[in-house]
Amino acid sequence: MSLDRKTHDLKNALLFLETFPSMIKQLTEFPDEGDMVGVDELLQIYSEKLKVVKDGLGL
Amino acid sequence: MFQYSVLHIEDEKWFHQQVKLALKEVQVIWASSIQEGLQVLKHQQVDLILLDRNLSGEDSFESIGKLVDASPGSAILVLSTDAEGGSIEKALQLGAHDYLIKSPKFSEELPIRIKVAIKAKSSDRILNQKWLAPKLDSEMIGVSAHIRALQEKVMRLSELDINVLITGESGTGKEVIASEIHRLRRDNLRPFVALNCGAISESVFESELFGHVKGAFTGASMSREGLLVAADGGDLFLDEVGDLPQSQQVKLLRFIQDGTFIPVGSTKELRSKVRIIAATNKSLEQEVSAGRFREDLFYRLDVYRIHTKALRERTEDIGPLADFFVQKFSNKTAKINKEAKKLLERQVWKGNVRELIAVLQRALVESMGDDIRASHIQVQNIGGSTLQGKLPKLKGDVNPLTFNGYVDSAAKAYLENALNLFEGDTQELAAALSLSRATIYNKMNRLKLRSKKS
Repeated sequence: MSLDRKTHDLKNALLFLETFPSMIKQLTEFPDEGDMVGVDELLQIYSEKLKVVKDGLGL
Repeated sequence: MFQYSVLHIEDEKWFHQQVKLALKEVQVIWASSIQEGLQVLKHQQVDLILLDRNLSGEDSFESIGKLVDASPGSAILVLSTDAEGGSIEKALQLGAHDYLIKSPKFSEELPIRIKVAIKAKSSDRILNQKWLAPKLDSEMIGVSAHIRALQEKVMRLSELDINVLITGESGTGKEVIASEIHRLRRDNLRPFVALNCGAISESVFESELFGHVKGAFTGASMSREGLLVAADGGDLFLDEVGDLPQSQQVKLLRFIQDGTFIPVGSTKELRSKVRIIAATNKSLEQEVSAGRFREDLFYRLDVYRIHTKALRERTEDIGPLADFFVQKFSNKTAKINKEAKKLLERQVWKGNVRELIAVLQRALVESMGDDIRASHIQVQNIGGSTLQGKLPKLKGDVNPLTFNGYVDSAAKAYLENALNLFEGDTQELAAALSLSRATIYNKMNRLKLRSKKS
């Protein structure tokens, strides 16, 4: 039972993409939370995760 | 105030943020790697470790053992994107308490799963005898069956939200027990507030407990929150509760019944949720019978009773207590020798542990901070208390016609018994009776007494 890193990364990326809309919504609801991941950072992670999904699915 | 503390080991900040938002009433500490998590655990105790299965490509299962060793009191919940290949069973075998799959809706399930894992861990702790041992800085010291039973009760009570009544003579450590009941609880970030009901006046008690508003009485130049506000969500220790005046007993009862109170001079009702740990050296049953203590309040406080035995009823604890306090007061530079401990064990200790502490502090002054010997022990009325009830009544061989004859017979009986008690050790006897050894020998010669030892 070893961990398949590629599968894990793909699932993790899909989870991020699925959660992304609600995270953007949270940012508007809790703009004053000091340690929140900001919009710029979220967008950067978005492109990274999108690439992982594309690579993973061979697109 | 937080319900629990959780260490979240996760390499992706965005996911940590989701966890933090899902756990609003939990203190969440973030570590981005196992190493960082282990560093946190060196300084902070947490109720639960939330562990990501995959940390920067590494399988974190290999580190579960290290986390268990670093924080044996914490539950472990593994978070992963899947549960393939017997992952759940493997995680549980390695010491995790639960396994949760990451999904967009995991945030609804997470708070409940955390609560369940912490409860499960807490049951383990109660069943595991290792956890019943007091912490190193605890003052609940002793080897007697009584102390061991107390330690176990305190551990069990620490996890329950029920009122506790601690009874026992003055100086038997009732406050130590109350603070241990509070301290040993897993979420001990809760407040602990103490109030001595016997040490403050009736009017001050009300203001201290319930608080007051500006102008409520002469001198109330500003509003002040009471101890019930400070203790909200935690424990309130009411020492000497048997001394509480009846007018205040009714107010305390009202608060215990419905959790509400009104600060002095205010019309606004406030609410507070506290566990009450009360202590008294009086027999509250007798106080109730005499009409001095409200029966309804007594039953509200006496939900679970702990009785602390007097030190004279558990003399086997005197040695360990003496070791502990001598080390504590000397910053671990001094010890106490066997003879000195034997001398302490012969005392009656009417003032219990409090008196023992005072005697040991005096002894450390006498020894100039060096190891304590029997000659450094200065106990008040040691002759009277050691021999109390043990001296025989003078019998017919006393010449009642002469005062000196009576005194000599009494002195002979006294010394004979004292020598037996000290097993013929005239040095110890001389120290205990505050006489020189020469005086002891002179009296023994004159009264024709012989020491078994010599």
